[in-house]
This record gives sequence, structure tokens and C-alpha cells, in this order.
Amino acid sequence: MDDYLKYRFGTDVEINLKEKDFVSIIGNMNDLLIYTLLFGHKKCNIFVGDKEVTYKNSYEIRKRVSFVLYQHLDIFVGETVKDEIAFGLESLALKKDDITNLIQSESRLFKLDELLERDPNSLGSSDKVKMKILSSMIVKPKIIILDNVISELDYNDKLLVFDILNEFCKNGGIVINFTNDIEDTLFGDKIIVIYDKKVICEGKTISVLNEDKILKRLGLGLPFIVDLNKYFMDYGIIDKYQLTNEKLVGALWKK
Amino acid sequence: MEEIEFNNVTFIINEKTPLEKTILNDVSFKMEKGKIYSFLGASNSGKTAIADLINALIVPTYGSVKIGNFINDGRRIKNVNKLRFDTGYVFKNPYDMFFNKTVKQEIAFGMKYFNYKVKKKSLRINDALKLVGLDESYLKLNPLRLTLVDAKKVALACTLIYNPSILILDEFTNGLNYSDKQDLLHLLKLLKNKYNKTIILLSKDTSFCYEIADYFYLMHLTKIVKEGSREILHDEELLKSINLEVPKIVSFVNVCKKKKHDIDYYTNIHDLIKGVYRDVF
Repeated sequence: MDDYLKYRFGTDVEINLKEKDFVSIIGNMNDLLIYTLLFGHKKCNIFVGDKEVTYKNSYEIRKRVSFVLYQHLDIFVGETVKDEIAFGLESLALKKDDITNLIQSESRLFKLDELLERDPNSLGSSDKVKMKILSSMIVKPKIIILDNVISELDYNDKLLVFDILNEFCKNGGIVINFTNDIEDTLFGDKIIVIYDKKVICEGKTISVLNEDKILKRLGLGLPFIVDLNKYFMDYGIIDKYQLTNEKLVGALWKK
Repeated sequence: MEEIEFNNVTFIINEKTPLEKTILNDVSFKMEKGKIYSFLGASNSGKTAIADLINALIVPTYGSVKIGNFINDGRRIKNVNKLRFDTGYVFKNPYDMFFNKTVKQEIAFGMKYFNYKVKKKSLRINDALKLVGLDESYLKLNPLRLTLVDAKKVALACTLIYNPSILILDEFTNGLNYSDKQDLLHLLKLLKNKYNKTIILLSKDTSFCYEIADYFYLMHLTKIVKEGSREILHDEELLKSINLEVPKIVSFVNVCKKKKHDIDYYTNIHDLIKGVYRDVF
């Protein structure tokens, strides 16, 4: 399968993503990467699908790529949650009945169906994030880019949103989750660590988390359960990763 | 500033209109000086309203809030600036706090506004930046262009500069990475132990608060469900019912206990590993 998103910044940063990838990007370059993805840069080459992103075709590209940004969580275009979600669909010139039906079915998925008539300003932060993610997903983009918004979600909502995003990936989408919290990376299937304009390591989740020395030196730490595993492996009590509490406890007291 | 006392505080917005909504419902508690308090709750539980009430940014609909010698009960508070000088408040969205052109002006504003007299202002600004883990190169930057993590640190420096005796942090740990959280832990411990400050953490990050706070209030839908010391976070059922994550250490220890291995509830990972190691061998 060919790479769907190709991103190059300078000589050292290179990101290639295929369809069905759920990737977490972590490090101290997140804001710059998102800025260049949004507006482009002279040092930066981006290909989405078969097209290179330029100033002229940016409208066409925005149909394929949706952004959910932290800075925009308090900025609304509609008076009610329904208007807010419908905004993207209206600009795609869909019929009114289709829009209503689509909002009804999709909002039930996000458990927002009871809040549709509310003023978005009166929502809690968790519902705001869910609304923003829904309004960017409902236009059926190919790529969703999340910037630090997962940390605002309540625990149950977090699990719900990650389920939905995983489902989206299975149907051929790409999710890029820019985050600072290493715990969130356990939900994705790939991690890219970018630090000081360099890709430090990339690959499958567990193989990147295996590089504990690099991650700790960069100040990113390890997820709690991986950290525990790592210590016990160093002591020689267990010999492979057990990523749930039950399995880990079972393996620890086996001998 | 002695202590904070909430007496049957109810806060309703848009009262007597169709948009009426209760934010806080009959909340009462008492806080002492020199401790770290933590309000844990999902969004929409009324955490931010409590911070706003302590800072006298809003007035309670019923009941009264006593902060030291000041009483916030709807009547005009004399010398309200003194109250806000004593209670430093870092907002949930740090960009809401900024309105100056550079970080230096932003940090210096607190001293200027509250008439806080120090001998060498620039030295103190540098110290405040160093305390939150930033260097002097940030002084000339535009605060609105900072990244989220740096903006949060600058917002904290803006508050610490005038040395408030009560520090309120609203959702401060969201979006911070591991080392920033460790630095914050050390800073909060320093503020509590050396300078005897009262610190109020409003958060849904139970793992972080479990490690540092002395006393906990669990909030759900406008009410305080339960309060007490660290033991109340050991109840997984309760935490799940109010849409909170169980602290990572507690959920691990609970699984151990379920399988009849006697591990104590440690507060940090290194003690936990030592405890488990001792039990295995």
C-alpha cells in the first residue's frame, strides 16, 4: 500500500503514513508541525494522496484533512450545538434533510444527542471536545489531526472517543494525535517521537516504548504500566510485556 | 489570610429565566492554612465555580464564602483587590490571562497592579521564570504565541510573582508531559513545606493529585459527593460512578489485593516496586 500522507520538513523530519494508521506524535515540536500542516512552509513538502499541498489547492486539501485544535475549543460558529456540527456539512452543500439525519445518527454515537439544542458556551470542557471532534469527523475526511485535546476529556469519554477513532481507522482513515501525555500513546498503534527538528524514533507502540532510556532522557517518561513492566523485567521477575494489571499481577506471582 | 469557609453555597446562573442552570448546590466545607487540597470531578461538576468564588470573580446566589477576613456573599467587598492579591488563580485556559505584548510585561503586571514592592524587579522576574523552569530567552516573546505548556508555565509565574498565600490551579496538569509534572510536584512541595502556602488543585488527573494532595473533595454534578484523606480514592466503584479515572497505582494495588497479595497503597511508583519486590521474594 502506498503512503497516503507524506510530510517533509527540512532534511531531518520525514513522516510517511499509510491508510488505517493511528499515530501519536510526541515531543517538543508539535506546534510547529501543526502550523506547517495548516499553512505550509517554504522548507516543507506535503503530499496528501496524489496531490502536493500548495496555496492554490488548499481548499481541496481541507476536504481531506480535518483539524481539532486546542486554541479553537472556545471559538464557535453556531448558536446551538446542532448549528456548530452542521457548519461543515452546510459548506459542502448537502440537503437539509440529509444534514438533520446525519447529525441525529452521528451525535448518538458520541452521546451528544441530548445536548443538540444547547448553547455551545454552556457545555463542559469534555462535551466541547467531543462536539469539535464530531463536527470535524462528520464531513468524512481522510485524515483527522488532534492537537492536545484528548487531555480535556473525562475518562469515560476518552475511552469512547478512542473507540470511535479506532473504528474510523479501520475504515481506511488516518488519525494523527499530537500529545504531550505519554499515557495516551497506548491507545494508538504507532508512535513518532520528534525532538528539536529531528525524528528520534518511530515505529509500533511497544517497540518505541521499549526505548525507555531515550524517552526518559527527553523528559517524556513512560506510561505507568510499561514503567512497572520495565522495572520488573530489569529485576528478572517477568520476561515479556504484560500490558494489563491482571496479567501483570498473574505473571509476577507465578514463581 | 487564615482559612477558607464555604457555608451552604449555591450558585445559579441565569436565574428566573428559561436558561436557568445550577452550577453549585449547597456546598459547605472548611480549609486550613498550609495544606494541599484537591477537588476531583469530571467536567460540568462545578470545580471552576469554586475557584471563581474564592477569587470573588462571581458572587454566590445563596450562602456565603469566607476567605480570611473577607466575606463573599453578594454584598460589596471592600478592598477586593487585597483579596485577589492573597488568592493567586491560574485559569484553565492560560491564554485567557494574557493581554500584554511580551512575557516580561506580562509577569511584571502583577507587581505593578497590586503595588507589590520589591527592590530589584527584573531580578525577581528572572527568579519567577526560573522557578517554573523557563529561561530568560522567553522574556521577549509574545505570550499569545507560546505553546500550551510554556503558556501554562508563564501563567503560573505571573501568579507566583506577587507571592499569594493561597494558590489555585485549575486543570493545570492537562497537556503537561512527565518531566513537567515532576517539576510541578517539587514546586508544590516546596511552596507547601517552605513557604506554608495553601494550594487548591482543581483537576480530573487523579493520579497526579493522589501523589501530592493532603485532602480530597470528590465532586459530581454540582455537589460534593465525598470528602476525606487519601483513603477515599481507594474506592474504585465510587470513582467510576462519578466518571473519574482510578489512580494508576490504586488500580494496580487493588488487583493485587483481589488476588490476596498484601501490598500497601504507596503514593509513588518507586516505593510500589520495592513493596512488590519484597512480597514476591
